[in-house]
Amino acid sequence: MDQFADRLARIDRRLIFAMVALICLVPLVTGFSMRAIVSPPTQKLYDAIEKTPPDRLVVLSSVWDAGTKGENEPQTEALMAHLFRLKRRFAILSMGSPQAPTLAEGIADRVAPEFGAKYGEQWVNWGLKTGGSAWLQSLPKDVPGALGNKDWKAVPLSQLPVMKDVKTFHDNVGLVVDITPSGTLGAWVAFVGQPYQVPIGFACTAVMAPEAYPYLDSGQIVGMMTGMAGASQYFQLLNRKGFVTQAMTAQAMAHFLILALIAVGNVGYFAGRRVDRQGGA
Amino acid sequence: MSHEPIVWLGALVTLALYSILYRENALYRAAEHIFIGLGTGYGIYIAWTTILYPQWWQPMTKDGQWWWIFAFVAGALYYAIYTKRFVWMSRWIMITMLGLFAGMEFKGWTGSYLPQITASFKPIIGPEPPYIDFSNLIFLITLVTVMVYFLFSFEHRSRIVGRTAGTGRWLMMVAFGAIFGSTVMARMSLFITRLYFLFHDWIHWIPDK
Repeated sequence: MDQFADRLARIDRRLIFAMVALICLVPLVTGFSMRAIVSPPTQKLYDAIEKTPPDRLVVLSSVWDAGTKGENEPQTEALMAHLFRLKRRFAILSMGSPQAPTLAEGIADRVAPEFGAKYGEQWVNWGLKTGGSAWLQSLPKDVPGALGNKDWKAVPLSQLPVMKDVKTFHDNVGLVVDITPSGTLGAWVAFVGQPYQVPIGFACTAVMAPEAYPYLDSGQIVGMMTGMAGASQYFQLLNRKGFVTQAMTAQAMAHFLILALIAVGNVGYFAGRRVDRQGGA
Repeated sequence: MSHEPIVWLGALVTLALYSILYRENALYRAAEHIFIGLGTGYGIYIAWTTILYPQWWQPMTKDGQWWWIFAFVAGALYYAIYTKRFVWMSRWIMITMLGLFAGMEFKGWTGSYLPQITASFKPIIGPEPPYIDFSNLIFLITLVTVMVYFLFSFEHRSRIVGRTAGTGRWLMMVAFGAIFGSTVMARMSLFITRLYFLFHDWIHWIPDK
């Protein structure tokens, strides 16, 4: 009994890693998928985009890089597909993350042909901007001025129909969605959302979600897409197929395995403690 | 299997990075350093091509806006920290930036958190359905007990204060558990994406969706 308890409590971590990898592979290889249950925050974000006035620009603040591609890439794809489908104009903006403009534009280039959308007509890439909060405060008051009147490849904004008549956030921007693995939400809420009455949406990594709920609860953000789970729910709302649907099934199975391993580890721990006590007595 | 060299390179580097799961090794270290080097190099390239060159260098050298040289002077002041003789110069720029950002942070704090304080006044008996009232009650209990836990101006000797603070501590543990659960979920998402890359893009075991 004591040997058994000891084995349970001391499973080689490499065996656990192999088990996690194998269980994740099953749904990916077989195509088995479970239906996602759409959470209220994701539904709210979807509804907010649906309600965005057609004449207003949507700003996708894409602040992620390769490190969180697994979560933020499907989120960006879901949002872009939705905007392309609704024929809403949007701009990609990356503050402080050098890889972000390239990664976000790559997704737009991949998704746009499905909807016949073209760069400069339905979307524009404002590129990388530094200066953080200071620059962000100048943007809503004078959009072309803060961008230097050029997109990220130095094309004059006046040559891009998507930027026609876009002057200020208050008059021309209908929604900002912050897609991020870092703490940029506070700045958007404080410097753009509240002073200019622009609705703010949030698409974050799962790690960041617990900290963002107070913003959702207070109405400072209109909706939230959380990690890969949120992206999978959004894909379902769009009735769109993608890797993320299978990935969430893989994740659910991995979670079941982790729960089972926690239970096994505890059984081993308590059994071992009982044996120790009996031995001590 | 893929015939694209870039996919092979990505796959081999991914495997090198995951080799840390077996044990610490030179391949892992090499891949880690290459990743950091590439990320930094790419960041410098993007910063120059999309910010510094079009917004600073070009106006200063080609458009006659010579006053942009002062941006260089201000930036260079930071490096005075490396000399004992001129270290006082670095303090000028630092205190200026500290003051600037402290002011902005204050503005940001009021914009971010004051609405949340207002929103924390929730009715526990109201026109909403009973489950909302119940949810608001839990919110109120959590808010009060956690705030009591953080009252450090006096010792929690009183039984009422001690137990209230203890409840707050337990409720925070629940929150930390939720955050840790989210962290596991986030890391798992990244791992599954890499698995997909290896088995879809590289060895083609996973069919196209």
